[in-house]
Amino acid sequence: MAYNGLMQNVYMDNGATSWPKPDCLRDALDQHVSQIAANPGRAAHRASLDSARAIFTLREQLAGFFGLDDPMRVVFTSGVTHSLNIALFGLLRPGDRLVCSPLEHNAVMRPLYVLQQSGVQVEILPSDEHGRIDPADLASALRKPTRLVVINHASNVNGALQDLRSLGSLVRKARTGGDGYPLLLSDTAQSAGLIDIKMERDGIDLLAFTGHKGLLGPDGTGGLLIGPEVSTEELHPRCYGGTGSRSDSEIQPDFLPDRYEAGTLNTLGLAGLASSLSWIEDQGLPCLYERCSALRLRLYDALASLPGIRLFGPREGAAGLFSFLLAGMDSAEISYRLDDDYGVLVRGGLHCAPSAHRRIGSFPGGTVRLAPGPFTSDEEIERTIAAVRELSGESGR
Amino acid sequence: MSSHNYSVILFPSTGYAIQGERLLDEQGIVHRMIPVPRSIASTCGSCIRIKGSDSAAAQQILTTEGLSFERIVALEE
Repeated sequence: MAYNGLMQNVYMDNGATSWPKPDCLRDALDQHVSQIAANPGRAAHRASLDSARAIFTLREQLAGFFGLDDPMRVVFTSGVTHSLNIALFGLLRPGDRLVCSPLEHNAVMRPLYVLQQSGVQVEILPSDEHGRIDPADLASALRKPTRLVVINHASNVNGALQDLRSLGSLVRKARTGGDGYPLLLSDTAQSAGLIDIKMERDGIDLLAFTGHKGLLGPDGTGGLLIGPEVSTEELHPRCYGGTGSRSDSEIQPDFLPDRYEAGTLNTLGLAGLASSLSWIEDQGLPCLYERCSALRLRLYDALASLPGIRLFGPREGAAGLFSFLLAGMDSAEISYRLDDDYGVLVRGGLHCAPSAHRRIGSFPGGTVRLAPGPFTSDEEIERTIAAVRELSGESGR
Repeated sequence: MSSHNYSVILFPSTGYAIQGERLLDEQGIVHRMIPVPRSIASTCGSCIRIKGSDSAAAQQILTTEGLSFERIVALEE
């Protein structure tokens, strides 16, 4: 199959950010910049109040989407990394213990590296070959003074899904002794917008999400949902500044969401996110999951039969992506050839997740990740399969 | 709103005020969102102005719904 440079690219990098986005997102952004888009909560004129109403409506929408009762416990951030930093640095103190999965992204591992220097103890749980945790292993790890359990719901390297509901149930059972700990923090970067997640049902106390991946929104949007069992007094802010409230005081407000929302919100991005989220709700998560799972499975099964290929990730029980390697070629070469020779856009390397790659045996070389999205066509899947098939023929020579 | 006697409901933030206006809307209490009068607080947010005669009803609604508000202040024009 010759790629002549005029063929449309095949975008297989939805794990990094989703593309394309729903048409309604473009319309929402256009509408937002075409009208007076005032700063929400920073004045009392009608345009500012309209912005504040739109922001509050999105809080309600997200609270409903993720199964949280109080929309004021939805805190907007610049993305999941910012959200995870608030939770980790806000809650953990020297001497505390933290337990996490082996599939955590550097958005967790880098903060943990810093926290370990200050005396936080970190334990990485054992797992199966895909990085999935056996709930029994978590149960035995939940000893005092465990303050936080961090679980990446879906790996950004191999798509492996953790059984959040079972793990969340164990964390709740361990919350004895009156100190309110341990709590469960979940990174939903690769699962939100694809898999139904409900905080109360799944036992999640802190849910970090990003807007620009499965939720199909713009970059620079995301949030941290803070469950009712989290003491905001003990969850210290990471950033201090103006909130539009209590302006007479130089002390950060203690109420939500202002405690964690210093500075002007990304109202443009959030207008887009509201639109994308509505699109997802109209489609229905089961429908989107079925579509993405079918695309992933078609890719997975077709590639599994190729000579010299090694697949990373479970065949089933996964989010919409997986990784592979071809014998005799490194991940950078494969990803470059897919782009340059076939117009197939993928991400090779370590995907900002060295811990995950260590666990699945692909460190330091990394893997090539294939991440179709809800708008990926069957024809694009077949082009990707054909491209990898040709490369695998070369690699075997 | 032409009443000489009116009240304002103060909230911790505009987000709470927006919830407050929704509740008052649902209960048919005439209201308007205005900047917090500097004479009663030096914060820069919004508050809800209602008729003085609606103060008790408004307080009842907000309390019943469990919405956080700071206080209701009676004022005269």
